[in-house]
Amino acid sequence: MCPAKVMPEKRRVKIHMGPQHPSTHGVLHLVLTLHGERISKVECEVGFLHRGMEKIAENLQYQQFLPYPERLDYLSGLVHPMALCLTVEKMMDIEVPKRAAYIRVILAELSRIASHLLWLATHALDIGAMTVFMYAFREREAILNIFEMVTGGRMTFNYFRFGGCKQDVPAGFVERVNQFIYDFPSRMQDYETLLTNNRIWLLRTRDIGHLSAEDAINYGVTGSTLRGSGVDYDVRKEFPYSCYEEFDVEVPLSDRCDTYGRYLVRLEEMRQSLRIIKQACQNLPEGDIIADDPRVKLPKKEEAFNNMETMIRYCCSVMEGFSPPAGETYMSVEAPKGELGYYLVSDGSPKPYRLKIRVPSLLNLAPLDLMSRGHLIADIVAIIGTLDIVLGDVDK
Amino acid sequence: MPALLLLAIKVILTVTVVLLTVAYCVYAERKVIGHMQQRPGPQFVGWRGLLQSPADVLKLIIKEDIVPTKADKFIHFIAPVLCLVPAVLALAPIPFNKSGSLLIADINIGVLYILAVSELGIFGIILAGWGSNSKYSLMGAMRSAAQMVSYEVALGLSLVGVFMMSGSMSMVEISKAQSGSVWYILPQFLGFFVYCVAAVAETNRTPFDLPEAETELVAGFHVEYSGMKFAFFFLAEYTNMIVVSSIAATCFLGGASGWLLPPLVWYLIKVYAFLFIFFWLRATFPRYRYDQLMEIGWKFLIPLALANVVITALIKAYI
Amino acid sequence: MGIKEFIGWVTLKDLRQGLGVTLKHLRRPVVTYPYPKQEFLAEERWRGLHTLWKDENTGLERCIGCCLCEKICPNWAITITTSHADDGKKVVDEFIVNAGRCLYCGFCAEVCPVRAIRQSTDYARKVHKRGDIILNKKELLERGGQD
Repeated sequence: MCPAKVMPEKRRVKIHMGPQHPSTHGVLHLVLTLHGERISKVECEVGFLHRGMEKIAENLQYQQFLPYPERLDYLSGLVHPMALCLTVEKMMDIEVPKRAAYIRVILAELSRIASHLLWLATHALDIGAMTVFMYAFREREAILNIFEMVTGGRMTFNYFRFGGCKQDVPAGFVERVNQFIYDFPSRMQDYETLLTNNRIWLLRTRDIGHLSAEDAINYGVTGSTLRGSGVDYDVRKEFPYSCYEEFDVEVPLSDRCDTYGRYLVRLEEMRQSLRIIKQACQNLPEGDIIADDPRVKLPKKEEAFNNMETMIRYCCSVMEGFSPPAGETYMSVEAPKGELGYYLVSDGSPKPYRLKIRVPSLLNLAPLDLMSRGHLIADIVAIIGTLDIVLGDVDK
Repeated sequence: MPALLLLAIKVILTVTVVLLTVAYCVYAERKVIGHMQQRPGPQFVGWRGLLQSPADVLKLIIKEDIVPTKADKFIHFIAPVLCLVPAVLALAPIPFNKSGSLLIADINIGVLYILAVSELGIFGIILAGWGSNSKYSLMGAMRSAAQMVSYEVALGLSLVGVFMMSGSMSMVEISKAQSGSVWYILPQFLGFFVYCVAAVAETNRTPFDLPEAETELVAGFHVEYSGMKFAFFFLAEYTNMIVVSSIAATCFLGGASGWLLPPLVWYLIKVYAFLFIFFWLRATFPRYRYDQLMEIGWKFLIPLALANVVITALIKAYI
Repeated sequence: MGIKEFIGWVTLKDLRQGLGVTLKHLRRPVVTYPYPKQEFLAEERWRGLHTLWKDENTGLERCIGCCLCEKICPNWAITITTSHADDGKKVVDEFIVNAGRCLYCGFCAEVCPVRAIRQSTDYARKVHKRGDIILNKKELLERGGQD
């Protein structure tokens, strides 16, 4: 795209986009410096949704903090607590039972599909295709129904526990997931017909928001946005966690480096996620749902009432929680938005000394200025869409 | 004097009917798009939501009329009127039936009149953007002006072929000329195509709805309007849709002619079919970008329309 | 661009296909939920508003006032006041759940050793005044049952 000509400063117009704007996906505030309709500079202001999650974590016991991370990226609420669980498990050296790990994988991948569907919906809506929005929400609804059935919540789940999951999946879970696996590909065909070859969609996404592989790495961009620039990096493949190494899956890449490339990558990722879910459902092992470790597993309630020792332990583990050994750990997972890392420092007390969350959306937002310079004002909407940010994640 | 009275009745009748159609056009649009997206659309007010439109109108009337502090009060006030009046004026030479008895004025340059008058609506839009004193509005207005000016050319040129074939610019004559021979959609298919695209752009509808692009300019030129003033823009947009659909029905689809059913019904069927296509396009397509839209207009549609004129002229001259 | 693609481009193949998809859906049944008209039935595991339960046989409150739920609650939404009766037994005087603070994580129901506090499938707390959102013991017991 042609860069904006160097014009005297007074000829430029500043426009405030957001924090209330239909396509900044929440409370993102952009200050656009325009020359005509061309963007010469984008200043990005974040923090409107800052809730101080990291500080909250320092004041709560580990298990009390569990419901919080899913409120960071509320569009894929199961991946955040999974990352936290994995971090603490790594720190305390807890082996998660295989069934629990598989269930985590199924739910996390469903979460990824839900998140990508919402991305597709809003991205298409930003560019003006409103019907894809409704179709994508229809499928997302099916996923949320599955989540509701398993976890008892549609957006906030609080299902994963340190060492496993809260309870086993209900009867009929696998059937419902299979039904979704059966339905979904034909539905995806509809989105593809509406968008992939549509000439308007191509005009609006091709060569928009160019982000070269080098720039992407330098800015710390991860996830589909990075893979859309042709860099083969997927945490699930590079550093497998939660049994991901057992699944046969490909990492979709695109060398286009533009919005269209990232669109194709994300669509393919949905298909690959579906493959993982399929394999996990087929091989779902029997067994425990939570690690048999006294530090994290609450004793059975009946036992607690009949046995003094157990009762004391029950009360203690609720009141005092558990204390991981002093030290520090970093664990990252592949969230739908990118690499999600939890860096945990423990001083041996039941509360984290410091919890640093490496949120993918914030870092993915970084190259916004670079990507949108010289583009038209209509393109910035497409570029924000293609970065796939969620403001809860950006602002922490 | 009776002639004047008759005219007054016709005017009132036409305007009322069209404005009612507009109100139900909104309802129909919401229903059609809703069902295309597998949702029911309006359904709570009245039976199947049929009273939604009166409810909307009522809401818009009683809504607070907000004028931004820094707006130019007079221009801000006059813009919606300037937008709506030309749109309604353009209804004058539209023949709803074959004989033209329901016609308000049979002007011998009917189509030209419509094009000229409806073009005046741009003033309303530009003044709305200017008077609101908001950058978003101004940007929407600028886009709108550029878009409507350039697509007006294509729209006019696409109809030239029809004028050549019918030898007249009067809506009644054009529609009469087709009843003897085939509908002009067949010999003038190129012109029809250009007309359709230009008409969608002219009425600021998806995929050419850049002036009000919800997701980038929020609502474009009418972002600072509320209440009845906003409703005026809305009415103007839908009236314009009806006008361009009527021109298409008259110039390309044989006007009120048809079998079995009375001419008025045929006419309405054709107009509604066009309106349905408007809704259908809106449900399906993404939005073009401003520069792409201009490119299509100037580099593609206008040459195509000119080619159509040349071809029609050649055929007319030699065959 | 091959000849086939070119023909497709000229005849607007991509746009026609898109229009076909929306037209196809025009005849399909509606999938949305007419929410206020049709009540939304939550799944069994739904973590909704809290309830306090009584014992099936004795009809007494199950809650023993151990305050574990108060302790585990990450948002301090639960307040329990207890006292000792004349016979020395612990009595739960008041049990307050501030549904406005609650984040519906379900820990209270999970840790309760006697399954006294549970979460119902009631997903909507509709009140007219802000203060009414706080549930006291009487209300909680009314919402619950016996088992």
